[in-house]
Amino acid sequence: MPILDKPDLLDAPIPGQALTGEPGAYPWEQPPQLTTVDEAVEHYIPMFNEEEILSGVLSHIEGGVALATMADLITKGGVMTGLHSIDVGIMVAPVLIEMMITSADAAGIEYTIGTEPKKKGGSTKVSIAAALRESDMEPMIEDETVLEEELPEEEMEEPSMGMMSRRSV
Amino acid sequence: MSKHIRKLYTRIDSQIKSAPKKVPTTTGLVGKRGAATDEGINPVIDYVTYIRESRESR
Repeated sequence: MPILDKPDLLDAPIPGQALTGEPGAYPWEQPPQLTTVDEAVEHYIPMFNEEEILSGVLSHIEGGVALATMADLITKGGVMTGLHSIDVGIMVAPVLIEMMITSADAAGIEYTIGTEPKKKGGSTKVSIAAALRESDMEPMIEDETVLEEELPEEEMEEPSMGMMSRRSV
Repeated sequence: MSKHIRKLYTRIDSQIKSAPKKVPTTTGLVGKRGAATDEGINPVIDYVTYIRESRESR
């Protein structure tokens, strides 16, 4: 059954579940602390001067995370902590992207904004196999087969011979 | 939310690139007779333009 292959469908909240909690229990249900884009920019820009935060951001950019995704994460964190609304978060995101571009340029790191057109094709089985060959890595499937061979076979339980047990054909 | 951010950034980027470089300075205060209004002014575009210009001037 293909529908059971998607666990997210079964883990989804029940309709109306969000209304069962106490109103105002979460920070994002409170009035936001920063109500304008200017205030949000004033809050976020000094973050790029802190070494710990900047090094974390740069390492993620170096790892290939798109700047739009990073800005999304940062602003979502702000929404979660009740700093600003989602609207202000979206409006301030381009400013954060631009700051990250500046930081990445200064550090000499290549980056992707996330607005670039996607390449057709993507990763195929052939490209994955070629990449594995280049990196001299063995595919994981071989290891699994070895493990399966090493595992002892489970002994079959003898069927119970009670009066109500089903007869084997 | 990420999709909206991408859309907004693309829009702002194209707006900045298509806009004339030097904006004529406004005279007088906003609200005075004959003075320019703040209609159409987007603070996000101003911030992005400022950061971009300061990066390029390095």
